[in-house]
Amino acid sequence: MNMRRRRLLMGLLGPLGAGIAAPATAAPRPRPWPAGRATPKLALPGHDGPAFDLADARGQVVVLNFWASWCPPCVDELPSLDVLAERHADQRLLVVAVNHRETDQALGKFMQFMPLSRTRIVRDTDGAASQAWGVRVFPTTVVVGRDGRAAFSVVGEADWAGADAAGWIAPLLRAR
Amino acid sequence: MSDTLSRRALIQGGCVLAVAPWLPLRTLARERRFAPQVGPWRGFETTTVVTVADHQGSTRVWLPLPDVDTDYQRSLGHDWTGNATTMKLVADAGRGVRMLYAEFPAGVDVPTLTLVSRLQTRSRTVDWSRRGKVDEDPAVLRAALAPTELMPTDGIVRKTALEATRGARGEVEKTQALYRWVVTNAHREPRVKGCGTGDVRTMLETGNLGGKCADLNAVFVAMSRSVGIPARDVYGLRVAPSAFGYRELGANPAGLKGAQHCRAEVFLRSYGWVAMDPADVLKVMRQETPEWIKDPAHPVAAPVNQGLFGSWEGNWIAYNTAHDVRLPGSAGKGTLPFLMYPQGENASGVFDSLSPDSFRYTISARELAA
Repeated sequence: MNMRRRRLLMGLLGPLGAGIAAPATAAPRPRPWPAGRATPKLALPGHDGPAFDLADARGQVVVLNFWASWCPPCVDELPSLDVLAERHADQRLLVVAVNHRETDQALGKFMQFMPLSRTRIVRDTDGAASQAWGVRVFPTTVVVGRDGRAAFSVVGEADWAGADAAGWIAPLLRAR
Repeated sequence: MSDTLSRRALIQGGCVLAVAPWLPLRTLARERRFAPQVGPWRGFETTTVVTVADHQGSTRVWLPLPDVDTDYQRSLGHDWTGNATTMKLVADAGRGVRMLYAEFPAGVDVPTLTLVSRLQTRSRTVDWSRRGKVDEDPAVLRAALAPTELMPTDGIVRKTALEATRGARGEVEKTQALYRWVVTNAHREPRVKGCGTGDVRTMLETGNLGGKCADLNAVFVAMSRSVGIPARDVYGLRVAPSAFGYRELGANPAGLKGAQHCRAEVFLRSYGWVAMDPADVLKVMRQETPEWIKDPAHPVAAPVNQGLFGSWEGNWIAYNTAHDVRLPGSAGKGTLPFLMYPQGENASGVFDSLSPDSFRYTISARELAA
């Protein structure tokens, strides 16, 4: 074997795993909405329900969850969002699940196995809303305060019925 | 290859010593072989059949075509049939990609479209010992260095690539370093539990480099571009089993839905366009055996790790190399990151291209006699 090929082969093996520790999955944490970045508009048709316009939701805390049924972490998280919506319904908190680019038929099929009682499902049929809100991972959740301004986002699956999420949401619920 | 033989002897010897005597040797991992060579052309005919079950209003469909003509593939033509009122080839000329477009009005009961394509393909490889000087159209190279919607070439992408290639001298060593980085780092557990949109920056930021949601070859291509090595994804379809016995590197020609696969290539001034596929190395490591292989030197992974740096097997067809594709006639405003799956939309919205059951399509292939 010529020396050039031998060097190529050894170069591909490299320092096998040397010094590369596998980091554990980090607990999700809220990221403040960037200062100076305006809150995008959101007006989308509903799935099996009325259309939703964020502009009409002033005075409520709105939890916008961007998701797709083909994404397992999204599916795992949805029930906890419904619990959140149920728990705080009388505190004017609304959970809106923004579905990414799936048809009515696909959504209908999925919802047969995932009944949600308090979560509103709306349809981002062409992905423009996800793009406008800077969503690059599903699920991404953006929480909007009663003043209509985005407060923070959480990227990746989270337990929205848990204590951590309760702590993130509490200051927004306290605001009038 | 003397060092391969000596490694095999070492591995077998070590295994015999380490393993309990009652385990038969055949249960031990055997080193396999993966060494595509340029050989005779193989002819294939692929058939894609689309049936729209959820027909609401008018329906529009776009199908990718095996439309690359190079030293490893030759297109022989396309035919189509169906009950659409419009069926024609259209193009996103700016991206250099053609596709079959069909439009079905509201009155059609069950929209159906069939595309038959014929082509020839063969394996490709590079002789690393034969350096030369290869020219390429400067416009092609510029395109192969440019960022795309999902492949930025600055920020964390460039930072990661510079770290990966630190100390590497020349284009080949840099490419080696990037290839090795992708193979090594995709083993990590993601820091965020989620599904990416294919955005390389986000993949690197979240450590989410696995699963169907990521395109590992896009990471390789983006990192290569960011350090000045022209690179591109080549979107296509597996059409036959691997001749080397690797289940994960082949497909059953009778049923190719889900057999779409994106490969990659880089332009090296001394060699021209060179085949690369670190994503398939990772597929073998993840799925070829019941255990998830974490070491690229594992006897099952090593031949593929070596072979896919510079070679491709000719059991796959190339559709195109386009990014940020516009679908002519679409009601949507955005672009597609790539065109590798059938696309469709109707009044209800866009069909799920990743779900061949909800957006009903089948793909099959048959090898043509020489």
